[in-house]
Amino acid sequence: MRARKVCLIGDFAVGKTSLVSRFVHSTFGEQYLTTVGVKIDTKEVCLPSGDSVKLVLWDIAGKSEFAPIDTSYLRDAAGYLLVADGTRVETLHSAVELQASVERQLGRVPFGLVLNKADLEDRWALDRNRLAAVDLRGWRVGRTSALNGNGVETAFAQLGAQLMHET
Amino acid sequence: MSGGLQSLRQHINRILTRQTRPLYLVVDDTLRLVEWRGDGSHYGLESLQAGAPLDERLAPILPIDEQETRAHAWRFVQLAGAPPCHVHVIRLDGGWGVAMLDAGAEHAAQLAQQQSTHELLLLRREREALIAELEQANRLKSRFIAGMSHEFRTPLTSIIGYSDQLREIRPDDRETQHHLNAVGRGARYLLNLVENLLDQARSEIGPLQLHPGACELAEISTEVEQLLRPVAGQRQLSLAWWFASDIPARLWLDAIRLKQVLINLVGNAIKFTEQGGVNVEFDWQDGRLQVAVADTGPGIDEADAAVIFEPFRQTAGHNQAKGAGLGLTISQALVQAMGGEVRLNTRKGEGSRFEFSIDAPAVRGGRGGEGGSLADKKIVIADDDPDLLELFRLWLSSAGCRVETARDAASTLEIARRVRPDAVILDLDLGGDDGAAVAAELGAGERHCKIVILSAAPNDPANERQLPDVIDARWTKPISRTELLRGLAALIADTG
Ligand SMILES: Nc1nc2c(ncn2[C@@H]2O[C@H](COP(=O)(O)OP(=O)(O)OP(=O)(O)O)[C@@H](O)[C@H]2O)c(=O)[nH]1
Ligand SMILES: [Mg+2]
Repeated sequence: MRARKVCLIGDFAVGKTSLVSRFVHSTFGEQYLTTVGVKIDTKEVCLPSGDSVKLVLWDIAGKSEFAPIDTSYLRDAAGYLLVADGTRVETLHSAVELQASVERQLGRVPFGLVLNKADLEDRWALDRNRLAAVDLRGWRVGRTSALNGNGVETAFAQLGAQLMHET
Repeated sequence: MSGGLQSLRQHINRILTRQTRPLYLVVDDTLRLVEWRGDGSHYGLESLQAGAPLDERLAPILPIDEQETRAHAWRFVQLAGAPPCHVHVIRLDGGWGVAMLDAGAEHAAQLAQQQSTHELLLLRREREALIAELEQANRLKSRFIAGMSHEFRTPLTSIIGYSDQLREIRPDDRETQHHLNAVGRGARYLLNLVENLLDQARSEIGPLQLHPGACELAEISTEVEQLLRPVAGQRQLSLAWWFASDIPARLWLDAIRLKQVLINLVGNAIKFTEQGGVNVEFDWQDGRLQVAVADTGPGIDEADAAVIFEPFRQTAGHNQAKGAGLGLTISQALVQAMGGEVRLNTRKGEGSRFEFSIDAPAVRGGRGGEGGSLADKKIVIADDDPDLLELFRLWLSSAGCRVETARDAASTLEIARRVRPDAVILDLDLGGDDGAAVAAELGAGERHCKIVILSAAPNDPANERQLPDVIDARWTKPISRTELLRGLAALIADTG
């Protein structure tokens, strides 16, 4: 069974670390602890075909207006998961911009986009119009909640399946 | 001193080793351990021994392209069970060399800084979102108040008009006169309150609009006097008006707005004065009207004076705080729109004096049309409010006009075609129909009548739109009987 490196990419505090900790350890913390550098975790996912793939998840420090993404961590990545915070519109714009720059470095490799914090319905800011406005045609977009786990497994499994088809 | 440099290097090496606790690993291409130096357990690698498989730990951080890579470094890597570390990798013949250096202290320092930055950014964002939300709510509120205030005007206008009308019908019945005066005063007081609210709400949406015209200062002051004299009388306060001798008979200004400012300032002065009274002084110079409202009240201390023009403020210490607290705010905004500024001179215990001056050029020539007769003039008046329509009909008939009324566009046009009136007076809002469109249609054909727009409020949003240029005059409600008849006389009366 081969391992695949997958990077989590997005603005700061969108929930990258929380998604990994939900997916890998089935835990969630309310408290925000920012990531410096990169956290590496691995988890095997079973694919619909019955195969499984080992994902090596690189949870990279998020982007802010004071610090860009450290792109040296992208090296050797087989795919990536863009993460936006559904309660902060600007994080979706960031994800779109980041995708373009990541693709310049990695080429066309599989990726997905998740709109995280889906449990915060009353603060949700990404309605249909907003999503259409940033032109996400052809992208795989999922809604996730690291808090209650909804959509998390699916998002990683779909990316895993894409990675295997690419081989 | 010989060997000094070497001692120094050994010393520093010991310190660096203590801080970074380096672990050196050499593995073959199957990632089995060949040799090592350092404390493996510090990095989660317990009881290292030759031949142990390290692929779990090392596979994720080794470059894929074995041929091309000679050396690579990752900064701040966090692996399960290990402190944050810097990782250095070199390609060896048939394997890899990996060094792990503890970066815990450096990581902690950077973390503290990044954490507070991110938390601040999140807080700032949350504050901005809250402000945007509040502003939106405030705009909605202003629009709601503007709409409601507007709804109040028409019925109030009709109460005032009818009570005036009744007073004229029974001039000798003193008791009835007394009651009707009270009704009229109450309604005018409410109307002023509503106008303040409307202006406050409107000023939050956009700039205040003025509609200046020729008017007489004496008439404006008389109206304010009639409204407020009884209030002053009840409290045994004097109310005196002083006019400089050289004020032109007619001035060009927005009479409704000046009246509103005077009602606010004089009404306030009366409200807060216990003994003595209120003086209102007018002077005129170089096209500007100067006004002062002085009272013998308690005066205002400095702290209160500084905020007195802010909305919804009532100065503390006044036990009779009443009204909406908007009078001064609106007066200031109105005076500013009229080219001036309300200033307050006051000292605690010595009364207050509000002063302002506004643009008010003299209007030359006689009172156009006044004294002319409206007898037998044919007037069509269109308004969607039946009570107002009836009131206007009464007023116009009393001046000898022949009046036709209409409540929508179609009947207005039909009547105008049939009776060939001298003047058509149009409300802008005719139920579902548009008064401006009727005006345009009337003006399009052969002109045989004067066209007047009589619209709901000087600051109604509807008023700010472009009107067809066929219009001869534009008046605003509420309008008094005198204003209506005088305005009409100026347009169509037979003089001589
Ligand atoms: N309600 C809710 N909160 C979430 C969710 N995911 C993350 N959070 C919270 O959002 C905050 C940020 O989460 P992190 O996972 O640390 O975000 P990050 O993207 O790793 O941030 P950086 O490491 O700074 O780039 C934390 O307070 C989490 O508890 C979610 O799905 N729902
Ligand atoms: Mg993180």
